[in-house]
Amino acid sequence: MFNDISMDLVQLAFVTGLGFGAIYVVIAMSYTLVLAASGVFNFALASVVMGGAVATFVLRERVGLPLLVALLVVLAGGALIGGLSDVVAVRPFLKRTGSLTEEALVTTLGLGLAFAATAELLFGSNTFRSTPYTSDTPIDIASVPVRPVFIMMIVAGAAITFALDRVMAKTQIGSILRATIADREGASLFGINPDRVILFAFILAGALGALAGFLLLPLTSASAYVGNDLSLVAFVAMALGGFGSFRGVIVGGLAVGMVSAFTPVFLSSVWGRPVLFLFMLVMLVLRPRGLFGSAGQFGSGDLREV
Amino acid sequence: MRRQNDVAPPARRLVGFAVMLGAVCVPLFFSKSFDLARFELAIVVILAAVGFNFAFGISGQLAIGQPVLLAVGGYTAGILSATRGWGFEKTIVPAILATMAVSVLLGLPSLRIRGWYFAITSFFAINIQPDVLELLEKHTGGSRGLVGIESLKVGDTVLEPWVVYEIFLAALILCFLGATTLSRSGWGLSMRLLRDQPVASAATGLNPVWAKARVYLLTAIPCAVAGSVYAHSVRYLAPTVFNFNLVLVILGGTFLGGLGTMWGPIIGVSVFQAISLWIGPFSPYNQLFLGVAVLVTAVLFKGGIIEGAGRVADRVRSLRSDAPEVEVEVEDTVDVPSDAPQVVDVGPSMAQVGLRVAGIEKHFGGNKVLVGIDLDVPAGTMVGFVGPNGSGKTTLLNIISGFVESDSGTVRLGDVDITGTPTHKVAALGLARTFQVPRLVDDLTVGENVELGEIGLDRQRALAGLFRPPGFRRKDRERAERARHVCRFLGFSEEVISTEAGSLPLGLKRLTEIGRAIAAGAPMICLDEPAAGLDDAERAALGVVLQRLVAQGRTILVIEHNLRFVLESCDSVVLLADGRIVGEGDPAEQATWPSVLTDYFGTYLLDLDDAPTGAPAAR
Repeated sequence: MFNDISMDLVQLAFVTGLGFGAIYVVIAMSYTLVLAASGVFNFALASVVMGGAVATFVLRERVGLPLLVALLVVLAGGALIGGLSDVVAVRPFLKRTGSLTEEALVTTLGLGLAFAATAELLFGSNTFRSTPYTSDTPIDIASVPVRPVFIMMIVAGAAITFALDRVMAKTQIGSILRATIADREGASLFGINPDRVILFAFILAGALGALAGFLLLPLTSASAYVGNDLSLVAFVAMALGGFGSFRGVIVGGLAVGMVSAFTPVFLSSVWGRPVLFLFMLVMLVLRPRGLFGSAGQFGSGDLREV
Repeated sequence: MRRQNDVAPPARRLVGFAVMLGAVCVPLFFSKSFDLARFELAIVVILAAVGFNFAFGISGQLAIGQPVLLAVGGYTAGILSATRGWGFEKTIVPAILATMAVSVLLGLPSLRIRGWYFAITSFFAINIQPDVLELLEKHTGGSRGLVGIESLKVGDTVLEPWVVYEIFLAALILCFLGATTLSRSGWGLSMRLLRDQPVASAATGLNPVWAKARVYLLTAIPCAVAGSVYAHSVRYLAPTVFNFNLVLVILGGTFLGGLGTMWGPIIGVSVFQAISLWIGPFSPYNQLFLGVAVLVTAVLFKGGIIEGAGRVADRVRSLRSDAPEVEVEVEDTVDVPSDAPQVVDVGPSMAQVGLRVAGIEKHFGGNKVLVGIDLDVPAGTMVGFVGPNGSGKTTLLNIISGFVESDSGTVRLGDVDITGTPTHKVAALGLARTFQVPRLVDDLTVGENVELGEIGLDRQRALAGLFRPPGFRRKDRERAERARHVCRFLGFSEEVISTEAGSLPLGLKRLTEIGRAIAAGAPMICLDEPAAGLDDAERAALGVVLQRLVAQGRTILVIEHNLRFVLESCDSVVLLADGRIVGEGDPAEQATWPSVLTDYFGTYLLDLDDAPTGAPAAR
């Protein structure tokens, strides 16, 4: 049945999947950071990724800033919006008891859509191709021609993932974050202010999201709709890997990238999202804790205590 | 704080009728079919919100796939009509069935994940809706849309626009009345238990899978009706009609109006829909408005307009009557009054059963929690189960009631082996339990909470709850009366019975939960620390109540830290330490106790020597 699928196509899909997967890992990590620290799924992050792409384009090609300066501005902007989403959409609920995370779902969703709509109003509904960051001549790797933009995405994605892992494991900030994630009340007994840790997680996640947008720009081009599916991509990556697990989203993000890249090869591009949906449904019903998550934590229904 | 009566006060009813009448009269003022179409679209969204409110506000399932359900209802009716020429009267049933099927499918993840995690799976379903419609292009027309749907007609006469509008309105009123009666029925009460206390709902005998499935089946109906009427009215469907913006209108509108109130979704969605139409549904400003409005609504309007209006009305009333606001004071102690009934007669004559636990082992990881537990609770006795914190008492109770599976060993209830039986089946076999932290529905009254014990075991017909035939209402009234009887047996005053459970002090909450277990009519009752948080008088009252139950043939297992209570009330005590049973004895014959038991009880034994006998007075 698949005889007419050439080896080239498979290789191309593999590279594409790896490239997008690497960025999806970064995006899913930003969601995981917020989720693990606060229990909230921050919908606004998808709009931050979109904002990162659009702002990079505008700063570089309309304002004329050098690439690295544009990157720094974009990172700062992402951090700002990330922190803002905590202050505006999540903080008001932290003091109330009850279903904080369900209300925060609604508020971050509203905030994200408002961001996206604002971008659409400012930027219009056009899509602009961006000048590539590097040369666009394919490089042969093991006799497979690979576009440099993919190499950049894969290397950058891996580097960010590694750096975040080191930060979490080795630095003081990392151990404060881990302590809060493990036991918010316990951490506050040791003099850690959980509110500030949560704010920090939102800020860091915002910067990561903007960085992901910066890295996606050469492939997706600049448009107000870049972020549309990214919340779902992150959700599926987390569902596959296990909610709240940093190791999990590496596998989950890559898996989502691969599935998205290979579906058009075997079926058609229309199948892309429905296939991801089925993956998610099967995974959640059969193993709600994902590959690396722990049972009973972060929404999976296995009860830990009665 | 007293709960409002089930029946709306006359003033509120009047407002309700006025609103309905106004809605009926709309065609008198807007005769153009273009204007009416806007009202009809608003009704479609309100219908979806009524379904959402029932799923989330009443039953606690954050199922927000309504746009998909509307599309399934609409497209099923539309395709059948376009290909076979069927009219509305023929397409409505297949549309409802198809929508129910998809609704249950979308609900599948809720068996495994909770809250917003589940909601996002619905969001995803909404997002892939255009893709699926594209993949089924042969039937749905894909992105070009579906044409050729029969219009609404009687015989061969196409209905006037105003008649079509009244059909939409009739569908809304029917669904609204259905949702209202259903949420007030016993089935509606048990859905609130599922919402607030899923664990306790299983312990009252509610099968969680079926309960959720029924929620999804029922909430599919308004969407199916709305979608199919819409399809026949507009005669054209496109993949963009039921889009993600509807989620914002439904969520925002329901939060604004008041989640879980009957009128909330109608009022809130109307407001949202009006503004949204004024802006223009496809403008980016609309999305900006919806996003900001949802954010602001959720942050500012905690509880929604309805609750806010209720507070204002209360304030006005108290100002007008010039009387100081009267807060109903609930006495936070209970002593069983002498005129309280001494017998609870609940359910069919029940056979006495005992509980026998043999060789139970349980470890969590490398941590051995229970090692070879043998425990015998003879029928018609009360056994106290004591031991230090972390000795495994609650784990054993969780194994008995089916929340946790043991590694080995058996649990027998009477002659029935209940080892590894799911909680709701254990409850149906006649074992009721309470929890360390009382698990009640805060916004139901004490009486209603007690009623829940019986409702869980009653095979409630949701359909009967929808129509409430006279026999059904009589049964409802009788059940409420039985619950009140149980409350009086516990020593509750009428005042307490009609108080919201959430405003009670801890001791009364515990007693209410015990009442729920009694109302279940179970011959075997397991209590997890019932005396914790009770003062001396309450504890004595509790002892009297429990002994009366035992005297009437019930069997009781009590986990308790309060040693005095155990000595005063139980027929025998069992001491658990480090996952093993290390001693057993009869409180009346302390002289024969093993030393490990006398050591554990220590000074309490000396205390009791001063008392006339170890045996309680009320036997």
